[in-house]
Amino acid sequence: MSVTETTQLAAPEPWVEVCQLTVTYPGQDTPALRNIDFSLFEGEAVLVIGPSGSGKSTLAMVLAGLIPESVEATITGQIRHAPILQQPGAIGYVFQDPEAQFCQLTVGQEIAFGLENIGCQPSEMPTRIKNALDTAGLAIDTQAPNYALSGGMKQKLALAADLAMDPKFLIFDEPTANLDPEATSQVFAEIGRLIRSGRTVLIIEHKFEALLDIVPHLVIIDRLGQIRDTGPTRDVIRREWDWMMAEGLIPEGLSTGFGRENLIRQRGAGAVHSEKPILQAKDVSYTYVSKRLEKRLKKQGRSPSYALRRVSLDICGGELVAIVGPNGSGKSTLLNLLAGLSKPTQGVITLPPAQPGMIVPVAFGFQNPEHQFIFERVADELANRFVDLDIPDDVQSLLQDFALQGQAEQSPFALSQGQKRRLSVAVMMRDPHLAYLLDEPTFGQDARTEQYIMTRLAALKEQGKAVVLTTHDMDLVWRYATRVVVLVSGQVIFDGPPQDLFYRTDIMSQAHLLVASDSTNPDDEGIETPKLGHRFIEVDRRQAQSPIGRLNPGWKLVTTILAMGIAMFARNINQGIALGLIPLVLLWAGAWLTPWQIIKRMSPFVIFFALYTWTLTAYSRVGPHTPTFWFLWYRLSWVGLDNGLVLAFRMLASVAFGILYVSTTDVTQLVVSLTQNFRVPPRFSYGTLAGIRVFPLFEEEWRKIRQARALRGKDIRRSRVTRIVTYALPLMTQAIRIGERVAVAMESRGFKGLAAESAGARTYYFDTPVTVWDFVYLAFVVILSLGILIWIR
Amino acid sequence: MQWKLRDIVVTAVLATACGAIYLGWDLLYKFVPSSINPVVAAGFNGLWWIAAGIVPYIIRRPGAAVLAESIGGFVEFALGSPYGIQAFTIGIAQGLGVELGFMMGGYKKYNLAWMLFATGLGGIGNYIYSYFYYGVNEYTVLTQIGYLVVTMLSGAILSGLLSKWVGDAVKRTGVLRNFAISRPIGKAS
Repeated sequence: MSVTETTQLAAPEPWVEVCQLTVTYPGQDTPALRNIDFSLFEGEAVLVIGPSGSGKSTLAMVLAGLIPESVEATITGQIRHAPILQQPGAIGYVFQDPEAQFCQLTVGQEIAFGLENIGCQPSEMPTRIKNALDTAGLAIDTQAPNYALSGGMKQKLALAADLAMDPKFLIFDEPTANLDPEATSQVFAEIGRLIRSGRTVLIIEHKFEALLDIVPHLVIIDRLGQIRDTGPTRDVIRREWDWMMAEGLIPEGLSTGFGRENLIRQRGAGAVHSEKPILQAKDVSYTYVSKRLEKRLKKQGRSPSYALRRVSLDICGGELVAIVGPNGSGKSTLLNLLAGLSKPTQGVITLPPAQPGMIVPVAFGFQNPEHQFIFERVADELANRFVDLDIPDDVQSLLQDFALQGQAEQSPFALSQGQKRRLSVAVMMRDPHLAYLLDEPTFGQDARTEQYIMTRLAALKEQGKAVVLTTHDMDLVWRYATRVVVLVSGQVIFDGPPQDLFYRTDIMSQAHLLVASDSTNPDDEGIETPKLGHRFIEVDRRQAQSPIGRLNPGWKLVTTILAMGIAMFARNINQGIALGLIPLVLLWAGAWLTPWQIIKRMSPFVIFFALYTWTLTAYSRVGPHTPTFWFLWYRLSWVGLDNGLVLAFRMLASVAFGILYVSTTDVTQLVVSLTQNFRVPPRFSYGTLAGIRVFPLFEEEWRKIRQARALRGKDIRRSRVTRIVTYALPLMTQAIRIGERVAVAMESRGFKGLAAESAGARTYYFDTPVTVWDFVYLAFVVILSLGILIWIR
Repeated sequence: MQWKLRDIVVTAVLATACGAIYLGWDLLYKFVPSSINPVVAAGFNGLWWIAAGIVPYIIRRPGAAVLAESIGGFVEFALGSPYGIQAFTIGIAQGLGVELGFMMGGYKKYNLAWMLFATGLGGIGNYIYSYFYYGVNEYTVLTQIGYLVVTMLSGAILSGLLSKWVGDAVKRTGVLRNFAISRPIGKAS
């Protein structure tokens, strides 16, 4: 890739200019950025690098206008944006976390959201959406649900959503932090294309090496939040090489030319390890499909999709095994199986037997360190019990070892990313284990923390322990691993020393392990779809096209609530039965569900109807001359039974109307309808939708926390209630963080001002028209219900 | 006391999670206590408006209780609650009860006593709704009084106390720095 000259001189006035800028976040003593002088001209492309926590993202958010408007901070100094950048949507922002920048449910709606904010005509939207998807290199149907996309596809979608708005200035804030090497290089290639087409771009990256050839200008920010150096990329790199090495911005062992052969050559010969395996996998297959579904599929002659297929591995002491492969290739699944966190569908996993003096023989480190934290104080976490003010010596020395001094009283959740990771590794290493398994231990860490963790893991290996980790980072593999296992689609395609893999470019490219190859094949596979999510996110096509499915969602909700309200006045069984029949018939005739589907959906509720009947039979107020029966200590009455049955039928009506509503209504359309037809401020309706969208992520989080808890051994003596609170903590902190990021992402896409305040100030990708049929349906249900109450005795 | 977009999104996230908890509680409730005695069963009620406790405690805006509880109820309904659409409507009633409590504090009081008081009022919303919809009107007067009192106490503990407890724990983690809960008292903006 060649360096493209930019047209810096073409624009006399800078597009963005900051003078003597200092930014301090609320509650922090030290500023995130100090005395920054920076300007950016039209057509410029700038790469920003610096140690983690140096304020790179803060600078980007200031330039994007998100600070101080969307993210609160105290600012001194001046910020000036050219008028062209002040229109909504003029600055596009691609965030680091692919999960936390979407607010809609499908690809088309997601891209349209920004267009709606800038008032784009609905007739133009499909073309602009299609063009944006093409430019971003994402070949996918606009109806596809965006939560099912892989990480790389999500980042491309985020880019497409920005591109559709035709931004003048694009900001990428560590866009590849969650991606495998090939997806990373695809995103880099897109960035390169944008730069060559003359777009003004600013990029922040940890793994910036591949960008040095693409981005002509470089800015380095130091730990204090000051600009250290700035200028043409090559000059700055040459000037600052030593400093960058010292600060841990460049992994040790790289030559100035970033040659990799050195790394491999510097390594000793093949690893020495014991013969007897500690962990053993024999012919292991695994599927996320449930046993029942698996059986049914097999009966039909189909085989369920396997996350792992016939994997065999022996892992011995003294080995440091790296498991690599593309996103979704089964790396984490394999690691979970090796740790005994889940059971293989077929095959055998042999774990080491319990050892004297060891709580558990195998330690496991989750990708998100928060999943591991049980306590609310770092010191307690390290001691694995409540320690008061007198912190034991071993904990003190652990704090020292992992550079966590002074943090003993902190909440583990309040630590920085790097500190959290170090703490979680410290917790793993506190007790002796035979094997240490880690899922992406260096994820999101700068080179310094990475080196910190890896040298400790290497030391464990030297002591004869087995270390297994998954990673996307090939440099880590070249430097530390004694053995690499390459997984592709759940199968092992390579298992051997890294020196052998290094020259096998065929395998490397098959496993998406090559960076900087401008690959364009879009063979990203979608990740596993969460189960709970689509229960209220997806509506069957048949129901969506039925007469009731085509009604206006808002007015349909009104009708549903009215029908339920009227049913309250049912006073005898005949009325109850008749009212219950209305929604049942509508389910069949109006929503086109088959009788069998209706029975299936109603059946879980039958037992509840029985319970209502029982409660009132036993507890109804009865007159003095009413006959009652004693059964055990219950006083039963016929009046009560009658009351109970009426209540049960009322509930039947309520439940059936509910099923009718849910099975014919798309939640996005309901939200749009609330704003379009009922004038709910978009901020509330779209904000709520964005919050609900986060929900499917909980399932995954919940599962991981449960597993982490199971691994921490039995010595945690806590009351059950306390445990629920600690269980809720990681979930809630994660939820709040994601919620906050989503809100910032929405505002970065122009969802502010009038477009967020007033229903009339935005356009709509699809309409939710109110037609005469909505009122016909409402009148029909209301009159029929009232008629039943009046005429049936 | 303007709602920021961040307040709304986080309200929805937390309320949605509560909606899922409600669904689990629906199932637990129906099989454990309701066949014993309605007054005993009322002790379970309070958890059904924990969204109306935790969200206002963090967000501290007018309408937070009603909005959170409506969303929670709607999610409970949409996930397949045995109460059908009533899970949503009773949520509004419970939320209104709690909202009244915070409104009486001028949306400035969120100490323990006030949390217990406001979430206890949610029990009145629950009672009024159940009086008309769940046959509480058919119970004997004594059972009704017991039902109301236990429901309010349950609300104060399962919604109020638990919310404050969880909310404070989350606050200590530092993620709530940008929310009203972290602002000094008297400066709620």
